[in-house]
Amino acid sequence: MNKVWAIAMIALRSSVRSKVVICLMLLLLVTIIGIPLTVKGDGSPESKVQVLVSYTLAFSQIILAIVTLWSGCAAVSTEVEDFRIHLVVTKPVRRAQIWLGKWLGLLVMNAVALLLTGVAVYGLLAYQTRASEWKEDEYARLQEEVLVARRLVPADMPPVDRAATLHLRELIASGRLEPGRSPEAAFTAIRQRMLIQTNSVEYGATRSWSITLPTRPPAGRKVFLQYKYQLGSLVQEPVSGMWFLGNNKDARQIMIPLQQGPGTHSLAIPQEMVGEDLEIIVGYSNIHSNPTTVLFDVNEGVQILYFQDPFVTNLCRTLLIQFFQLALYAALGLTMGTLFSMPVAAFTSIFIIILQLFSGFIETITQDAAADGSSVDPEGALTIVEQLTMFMYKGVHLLLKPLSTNNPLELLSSGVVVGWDIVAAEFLVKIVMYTGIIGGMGVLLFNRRELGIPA
Amino acid sequence: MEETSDIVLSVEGLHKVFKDFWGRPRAKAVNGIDFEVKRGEVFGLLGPNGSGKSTTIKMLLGLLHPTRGKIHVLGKPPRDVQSKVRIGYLPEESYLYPYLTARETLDFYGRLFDLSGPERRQRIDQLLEMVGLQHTGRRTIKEFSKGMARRIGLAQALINNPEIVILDEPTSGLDPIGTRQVKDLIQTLAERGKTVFLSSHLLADVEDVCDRIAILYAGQVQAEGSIVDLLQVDEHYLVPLSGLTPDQLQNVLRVLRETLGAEPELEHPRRNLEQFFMEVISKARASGGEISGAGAGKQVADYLQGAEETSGGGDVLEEILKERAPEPSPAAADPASEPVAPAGEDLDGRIDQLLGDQGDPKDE
Amino acid sequence: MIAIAWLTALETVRQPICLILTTSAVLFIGVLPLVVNYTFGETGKVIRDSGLAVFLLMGVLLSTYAACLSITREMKSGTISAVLSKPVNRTLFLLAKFAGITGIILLYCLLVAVAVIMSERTVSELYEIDFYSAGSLLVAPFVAYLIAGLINYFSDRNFVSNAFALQFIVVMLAFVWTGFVDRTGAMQAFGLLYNWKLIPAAMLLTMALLTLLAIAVTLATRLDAVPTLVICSVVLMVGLLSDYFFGRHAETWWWAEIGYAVIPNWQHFWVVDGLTGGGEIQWSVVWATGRYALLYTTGVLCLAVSLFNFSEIK
Repeated sequence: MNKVWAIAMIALRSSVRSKVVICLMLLLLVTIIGIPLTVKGDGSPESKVQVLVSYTLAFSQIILAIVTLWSGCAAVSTEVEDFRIHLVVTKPVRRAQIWLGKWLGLLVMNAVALLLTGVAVYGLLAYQTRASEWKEDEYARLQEEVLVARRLVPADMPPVDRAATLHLRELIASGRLEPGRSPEAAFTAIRQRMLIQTNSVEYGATRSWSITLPTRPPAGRKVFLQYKYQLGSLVQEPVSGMWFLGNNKDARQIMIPLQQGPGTHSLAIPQEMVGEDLEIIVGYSNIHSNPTTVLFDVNEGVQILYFQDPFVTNLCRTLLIQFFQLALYAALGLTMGTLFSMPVAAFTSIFIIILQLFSGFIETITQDAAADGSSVDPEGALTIVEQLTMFMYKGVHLLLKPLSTNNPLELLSSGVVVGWDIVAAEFLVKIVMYTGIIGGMGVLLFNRRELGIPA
Repeated sequence: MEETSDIVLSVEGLHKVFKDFWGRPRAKAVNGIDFEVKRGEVFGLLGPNGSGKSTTIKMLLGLLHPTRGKIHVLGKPPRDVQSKVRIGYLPEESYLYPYLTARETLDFYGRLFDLSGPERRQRIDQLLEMVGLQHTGRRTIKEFSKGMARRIGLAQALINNPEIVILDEPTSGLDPIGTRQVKDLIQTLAERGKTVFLSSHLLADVEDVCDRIAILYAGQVQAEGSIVDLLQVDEHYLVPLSGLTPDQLQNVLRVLRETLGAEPELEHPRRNLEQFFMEVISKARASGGEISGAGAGKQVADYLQGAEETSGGGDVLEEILKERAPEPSPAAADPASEPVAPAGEDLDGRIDQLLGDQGDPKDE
Repeated sequence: MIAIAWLTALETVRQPICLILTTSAVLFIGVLPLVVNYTFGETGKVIRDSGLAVFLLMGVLLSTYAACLSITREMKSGTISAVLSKPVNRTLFLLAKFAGITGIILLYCLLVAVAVIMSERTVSELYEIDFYSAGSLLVAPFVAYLIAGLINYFSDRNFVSNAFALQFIVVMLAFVWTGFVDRTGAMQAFGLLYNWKLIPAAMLLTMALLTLLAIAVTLATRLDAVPTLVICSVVLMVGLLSDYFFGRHAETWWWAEIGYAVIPNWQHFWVVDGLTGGGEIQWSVVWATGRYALLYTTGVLCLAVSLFNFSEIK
């Protein structure tokens, strides 16, 4: 460990003295100051925080990622190229220790940079959201809905799985399943249809959701109902609706009728509406003047939000997730650097990261294609080229899927808690799994590699 | 010298073929070489450029993997990590971290040997003094001249007090003082029972320090043996004489003429350029010219000397010039270093040597 | 002079990264239709926009890297001093270097422009892939690699530079062949399905890249590779937003006026939006932008020459 640390420190010292770190810090500083200056939101407190937190942190993350990748690629490859590595590997040091040392050096650099970024962003945020800057209601909204970490609880899942299974069985028994369609695909389609049905409120109808909170909301803090809907008609106009609240004691309360356009909205609800069994029942009545159906989003249609942590804790957890991501990039860069020489290594690793960024997009393609055999050409079979492409997509998708997670910055800037469970999952996937695999590969290749082959 | 039978380094049927992308042999760098190096020996690998010296050394260190053949370094395969504790390596050129100072560089390599803090500090002080870089302070290696960087390279090779020192072109890029110092150092190391393996194409340097040599050409050993065996011309004799009056000289010549029945050739010995250079620099220094780069340095770091003898604390120039004086200093003990000796040397030893005393030069 | 330019070009082309950049640009543009065709509506526009964006991006990487390679690295390693110790005029030397890289960039631009044109043809009918253009474009680099590999196997020539040259040739052949074939594989008059309106857009981008190359060469006479790359990307970014950053303040603030004048306004070079809805790019625009680029490049190169003439070489 001593040796690993020595290698890490040397790497750090070199990057400080070669002014890489200074350049990095300057770039980050420009970002942190520049983005809030150039990108103006709509002036609301939410958008102010959005710009400061989401954009600034995202942009610093990009800068850090590029610098990390670049230095990671350079760390081993340049030392191999100019033979400096000879003096290290001829000492009693395992190549795994060299790899780890380099990785650790990059981690320390990133940790410091992220910490400073975090402090700077928080300081700026505290300054820009001080009470004197805002109207009273805006300030209250900031404190209660934005600069907090609220727990987000979705509505309990309606029992569609059972119903869908029954329906599918019936279809198969009666022979009405479309020929050539797999039962799995049919099940997915039926289930999706049922979910949409249970989340839509027709004209004049009322539908209710039950939401069970995992813990009791802390006293003195507001509880919010957040909902997201679209309209079944082509005209996306504001609709009138009425919310009802209740719990197992049946203390029903009628909320004011609302006139809101499609999208996401939230509503403060009284603490006491949370029942003793921590359940809230929420009902919606469609009382619009025109006959139109309100379609609540299947996943985010109705949710309850309540205070869990202060903002700082959330910020720290988000930075931690960003740190894991950078640690993974460092490992990727290092391994590429043991495989290839400098510009090629950097280019290849950037290419892999771009692939990862597009993995969500690739996912939709594979799903589209999987949903009903072929979205391309319903009449004929897939051509070989298409099959190959699809195969490639699926391979890439399988490899990269675990890496695509919810963007914690979005949660952070909308005041939703970035839970320890997410942090733990990120740690498992990015550090234990992927860094482990990539690092293992790197060390393996490094071990097998001959050094000092004459050009 | 009972340890000399101990073989610390052995190479058997070593081949190295560099392959191109398609796996076809591109160049045969090493083509079946065998040799053994015994403990306490100074072994030189000679050869022109591209003869496979560096490739052999890189295989000894486990940097390159042999295509065929066996290598044992201290009884272990060359890629064994633990045996590296006992090896010191000076590469062909100084491959150092440009943004570190001399002290930081040595500290880093010391850490890789898990040396304790105080031990590192002590060794670094001594090593820096030895290579004459104790005053470089906060300057980073980037600003060093080639020779200065080379001295750091030498220092880092010795930080672990190694049993085997592998030196690739140890004197390249050094000034005459540095060259001389390295040669002295090699001999001191050998006296301490350490094994030195070096490669060079500077024949004079090899001749001065090596016990045994192997000459490589086209990846094969063309000649191998002790330097005395290989270089001695049995039919010729050299008798250095000094302090003779013209009369005495005439007498000696007469005796010779009578014995040989022919006119002997008479020449004045010349100082070699190395000695002349040392004298000039020494005079210049005495008159007070200070230089910014590397100083001359101390003879050898104390911890390398072993416990029983911690001499050699003086300046290298003084040491070299002192060699002329009768009292032997550790570095001046090797008569082989000056075959054409100036007047005033201990005649007996030298004549013995030249007359073919097969004894190890270090036995005296 | 010509010798230096030729050597610079050769040296650039021998770098694997040069080959990788061009191949990935071609392949990316070639794959685009396969990805885009199933998802979006305005496929032609999407292909043009993203294809030309890749054109610009890879071109920026290529030109900055080539500049650093042939100037910074040579100054660092001392190769340059070997050349300059011969009776070579420093000004000519730098200009020759610029010319050499320019040659490579022009090859690159032609190659990628052709790829974009072929790629746009691939999606000229909605939801129908034209396998003649898509296939030949995607297969061409592999054919080139194969031939270069074979040449390397049998005659031990440099794989990378051969692959670069062959890739250019094979893609051009594919372009010509596809031009004579319609979507069903029958012969037709050359180039009926190609969108020739892309040529002026590609020419403008080529000018942009050469302007940027001049900037990179200037920076490379004094700076390391990484700072050069960073500054070039900043210049590109700021230049793209030049109207936003400086244009709107240019009347009121002196700094904005300077910035507006000094940093090239890349918007002049990015005119592909004009092609949407059957629009055409006027040749007068190309001519005017060409003059702007020429003036700018000349100015920057003068600066480069004076910097280079006064720089010390270790």
